[in-house]
Amino acid sequence: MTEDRKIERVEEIRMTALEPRQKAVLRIRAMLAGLVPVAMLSVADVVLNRELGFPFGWGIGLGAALYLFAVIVLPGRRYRRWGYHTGKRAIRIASGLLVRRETVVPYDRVQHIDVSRGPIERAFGVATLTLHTAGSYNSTVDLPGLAIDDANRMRDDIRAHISQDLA
Amino acid sequence: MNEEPENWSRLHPATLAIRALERLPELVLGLPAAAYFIGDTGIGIALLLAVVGLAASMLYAFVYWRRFTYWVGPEQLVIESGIVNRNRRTIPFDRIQDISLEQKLLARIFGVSIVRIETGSSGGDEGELDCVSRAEADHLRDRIRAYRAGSAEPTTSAAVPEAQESPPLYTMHFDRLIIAGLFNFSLVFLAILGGVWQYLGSYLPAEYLDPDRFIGDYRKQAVGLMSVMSVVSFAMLLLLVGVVTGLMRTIARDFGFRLSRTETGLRRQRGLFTRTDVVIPLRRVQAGIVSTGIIKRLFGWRALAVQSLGSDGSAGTHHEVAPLAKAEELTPVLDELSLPLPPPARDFVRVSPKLIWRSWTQDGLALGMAVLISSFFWNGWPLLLLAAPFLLIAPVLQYRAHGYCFGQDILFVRRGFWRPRVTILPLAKAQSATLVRGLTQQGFGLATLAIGTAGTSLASPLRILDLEEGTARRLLGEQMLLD
Repeated sequence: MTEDRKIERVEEIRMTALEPRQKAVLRIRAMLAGLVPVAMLSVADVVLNRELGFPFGWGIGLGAALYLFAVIVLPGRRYRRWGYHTGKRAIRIASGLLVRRETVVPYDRVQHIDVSRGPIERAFGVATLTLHTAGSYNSTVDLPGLAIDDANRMRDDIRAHISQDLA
Repeated sequence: MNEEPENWSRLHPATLAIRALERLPELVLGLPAAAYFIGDTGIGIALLLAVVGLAASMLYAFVYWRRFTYWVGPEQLVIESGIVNRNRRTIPFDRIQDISLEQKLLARIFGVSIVRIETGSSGGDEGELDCVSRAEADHLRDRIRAYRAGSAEPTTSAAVPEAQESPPLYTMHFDRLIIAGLFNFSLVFLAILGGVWQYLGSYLPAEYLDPDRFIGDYRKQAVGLMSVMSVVSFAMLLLLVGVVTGLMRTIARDFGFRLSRTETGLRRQRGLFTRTDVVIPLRRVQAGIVSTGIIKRLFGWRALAVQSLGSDGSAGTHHEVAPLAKAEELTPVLDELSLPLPPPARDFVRVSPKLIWRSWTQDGLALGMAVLISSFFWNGWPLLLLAAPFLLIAPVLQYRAHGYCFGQDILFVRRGFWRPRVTILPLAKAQSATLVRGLTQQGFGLATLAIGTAGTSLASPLRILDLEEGTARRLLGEQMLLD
């Protein structure tokens, strides 16, 4: 959350970008998640080739191309779509590559807050802040890719808002 | 617990009779099936099995009833239940959000009632007394209500406002019920008939219900008779069935509809066979929904429902509070809810007319894809093009029916051509807001504003479709008072 990472976006509000390390987290997740479709396409390729005489290599080639795209190109783009802005009364979170979302959650509507870290996130020193609202739509709002200290600080700030509200 | 209470109560003994009677229809319907499977060895064995089954389930019901006790303390309700694993649940009156009573037909005959207690914590109703006598149910409710009223205003604690029947805010008399029924045209009856047909069909030997057996011989004559007249009369018959079904359903559900005010909420009583008695606490009401229909609107009829904070995501949190009413009848109800009547349609701001183009683009692409794919293997693909006129008209109608309007800290959103409805949302009840831009929307510079509200209803999440991106951003920032 340092000033130099404030970037001007298409959106009028200046959003803070996520930790650059989050890009690596996204990439590793994409690597793991992509294995299943690649395996399925490869099996399909072999089966179609053996049983129906399809030319060999289509499935594997397609799988490899998609995999490389998902691992090399997409994480960076998805990372760039993420951003957040902590205002006086609400937090604003933008995300989404194809369908773009910008969510505003007022602090005083937050029911409770989680800071969670998966194994990949731990390896890169980032954390996900999850805000729970009472709404049935957007009942949880995730903000991944925060430095662990930032996440904890934001959690405490928002918690302070909540307790002020109750007083 | 040290303070072991002496006066544990049991559920009303009629509970057992109701259980037995409820099982009976299954038994009667199950008999032919059993007879069919057992074959010639006789109906006697089937009967015996059925009786044994009934006896076993009654024994279970009896033991369960023996082991189910509850105690109404000064500040809490304690329920002990379970045959082998005993479970003791304590529900403090402070935590009770909602008490509803329900009387099904059998329960009404026996003068008992199911009491449902909701504490609004996790899932579903947390306490259920099935069943206690009507007097006991009322007593329990009054006691809890008195406690809550007392804890809110300690000065007026003592004298319980014993069932002080407040004047109703809204009632439905029989003539109103008939009108509502006529509008509730429904063909669900046919579906039920089909279901019964299948149900019987699976029990009876196939040839009994084989339509060919009846039709086969007469088919030739039947085809000859299939004139325009018969089609018309069939349509008339369907219409009649629909109207009658709608009437019956409405009368069964809304008979004796009465909405009144209690200290903490609105109390709704309704039902001909199954009588329900529900209290909707005012502070849990999140939004109001005023809906009408394309024909109802011509007569000025509207319905009012509230979206109430539920303990789970069930549809039960959408409460109808006035099924058919004129605007002036809605005002007192809305006043109690601290919600204003929606402004006239002309005060609403329309969304971007590009909504129409956005829909045409999306629907056109989808239709094109469908035609393209189906043309490979289906000769009837030109039939798909019949959808085109609807896809052309629908977005225009949708656009004309859609709009929003800001009042004093209140957002109104109207939507729907066939069933126009206005959602009345106090901005303080908006939990979050999201600006969503799909691919097509990005092309048109549009954005949908989705507002998260607590509880679910027909109007949740509340969406304002296809605003100009700048407008959407401004609403998100300023008007929603969120940022």
